[in-house]
Amino acid sequence: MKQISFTLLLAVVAGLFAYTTQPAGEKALLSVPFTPEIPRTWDSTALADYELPLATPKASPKNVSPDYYYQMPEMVIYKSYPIYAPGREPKGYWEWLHQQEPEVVFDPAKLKTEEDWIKAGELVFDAPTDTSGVFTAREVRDPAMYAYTKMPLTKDGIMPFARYVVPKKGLVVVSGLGCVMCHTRVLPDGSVIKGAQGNQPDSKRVAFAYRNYNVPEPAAQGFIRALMSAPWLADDPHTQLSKQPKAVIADALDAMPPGTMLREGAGVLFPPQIPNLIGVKDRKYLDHSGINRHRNIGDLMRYAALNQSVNMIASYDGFVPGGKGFKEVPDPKKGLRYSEAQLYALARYIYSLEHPANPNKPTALSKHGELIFAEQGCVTCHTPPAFTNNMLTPVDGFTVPDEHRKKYDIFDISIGTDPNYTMKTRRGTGYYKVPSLKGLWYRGPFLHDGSLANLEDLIDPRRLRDDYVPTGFKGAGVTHRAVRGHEFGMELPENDRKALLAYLKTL
Amino acid sequence: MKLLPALLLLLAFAWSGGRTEIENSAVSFQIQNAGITVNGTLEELEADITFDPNQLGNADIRASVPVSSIRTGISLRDKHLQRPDYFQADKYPRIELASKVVRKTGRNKYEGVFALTMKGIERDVTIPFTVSSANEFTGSFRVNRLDFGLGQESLVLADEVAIQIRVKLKESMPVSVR
Repeated sequence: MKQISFTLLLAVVAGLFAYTTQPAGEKALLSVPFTPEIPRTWDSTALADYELPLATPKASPKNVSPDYYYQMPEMVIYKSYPIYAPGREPKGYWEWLHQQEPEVVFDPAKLKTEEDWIKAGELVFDAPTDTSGVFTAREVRDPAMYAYTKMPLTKDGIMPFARYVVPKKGLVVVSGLGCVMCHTRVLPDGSVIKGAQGNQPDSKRVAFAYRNYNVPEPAAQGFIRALMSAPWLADDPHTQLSKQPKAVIADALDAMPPGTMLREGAGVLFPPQIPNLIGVKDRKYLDHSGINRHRNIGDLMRYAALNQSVNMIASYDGFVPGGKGFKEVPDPKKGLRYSEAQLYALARYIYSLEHPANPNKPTALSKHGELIFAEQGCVTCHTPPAFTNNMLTPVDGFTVPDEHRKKYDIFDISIGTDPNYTMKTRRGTGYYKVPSLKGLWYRGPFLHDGSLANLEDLIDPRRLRDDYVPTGFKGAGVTHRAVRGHEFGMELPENDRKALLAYLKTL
Repeated sequence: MKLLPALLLLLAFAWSGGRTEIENSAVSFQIQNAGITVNGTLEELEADITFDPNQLGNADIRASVPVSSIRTGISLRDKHLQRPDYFQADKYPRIELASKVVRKTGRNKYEGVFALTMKGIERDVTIPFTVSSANEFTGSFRVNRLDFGLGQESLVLADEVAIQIRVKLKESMPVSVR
């Protein structure tokens, strides 16, 4: 059983609701007949300078050719259904699902307006790229998993990070690896923000499975090796982890807080904070390391294609993470890709996402904070209106090659944050991009590795001490450590700090 | 009379390339960042000054400051200013100013065209300045930082930088002001 996809009726309803908040002019424009100009995703010319080289240049990924890419079958997106937590599921729901017929819901021939394309993009956002076991029905129906992970739920008891899919009558599977899995946030009141820094405790979910289900140890080890290892590094920490017993791997997974992500090419030991997709249209680089450029909608389509599996069949100095024996690129016919129309619709949907209404209205204190923000020079990097200057900062230990200064937007100073993510992973370029501060009020944990749970922690000078207990990611077996870097605002008088925080929460 | 040759020798040295002794100096600058004025300073100014108000054709004023002395109140910003996207201090460690032409504009008032060199880029700047009876030179001028490759265009950081220089020479220095 390979891949299945489907539609999400509630998502469409939610999409319709979202459009009621748009200005009348824009709304009207979105409703006129529209024929999209869809860029070619796997275009050799566009791909040539799409990715920044890795910090170890020889390991920079060599992606599959367009010929290979377009031989992969296109994804079919099926209708999908919500997953209720145990005890919250309507009576007879599970049996009812087994009686449903499969229904293909993404059909570009039926998309007539921009609004249609955007709504269809939400279907792609929610659709899985895996139904083969990344997320299983056993897990989502197991009360122990919810208790172990403290899985956030909506007000209706729905677990919104995956959906049930019916690929054929009588077969109900759980969607996995869709955008929705990581880029969905449930707020404390049970409301859901799509596209936001997600808070699904995905790594804890996997740790739970390793500890409680009969997952073979080699499978856990292979999982880490395929997803995380960077074998060109001497004593690569993730290759080392992949040789450890399953319980040690589970410990490492458990150490990742919600809001960081168990992601291919990144790290368990150096986890990436999940980025906010809302506002991504204004970003020039994607991923914390800025490995992918974002010059146009085609680049966002390439990013989605890469990150939904194609980066697993790239060659990193001969290492093919998803290849047979980690060497051979598999038969393209056995692969899967989004169609061009699906990628375009997805990108349009992501571009359409807007921050939720901010409950923190400007006050005298936040106005003072705005002044502090300018005086302290925060604006230089976190430049309004996007609150990022869209530049890349090198980390300690990385020397900016001269040619990068001409090709990329380099803000040539390290802010001293932990360099491991961008120096010791398959996504590591030697840089971190300057993140946007928009929507801080509903996000967290903070810093690229989610080390700090709260905004207040960023300006707490105690975090620089070795006996500090990080409020976010600590690392397996770590009880205390300093969280260094981005050491701004720590010397401010108490009132100025409060004002700065108040301002940041209004963004 | 035996002292005269020695005195002439000393004067010749002082006026022709020997380091001018500075009692104190101050170099400051201002730039707008997000509507806020950022104040900065440079220190450790060195100068060679040949200046006789009666012989302005012979005036030769040279001054320089090390880029490493920049202070703006935020240490990381000061560090960043040393990097290649700003001053590239490892390759261009000093900011230099050298007069080309000086003319009198009023009592104790002058105007000079100076070659200003930052980051290896030389541009002429016109600087009005005064010279007091106490051997104090004071001048100010403005430059466009982008003319010198200092940073990039920015939504919040202004291009124009206002610069002030004050140099007080020791009274014994051979500068006469009338």
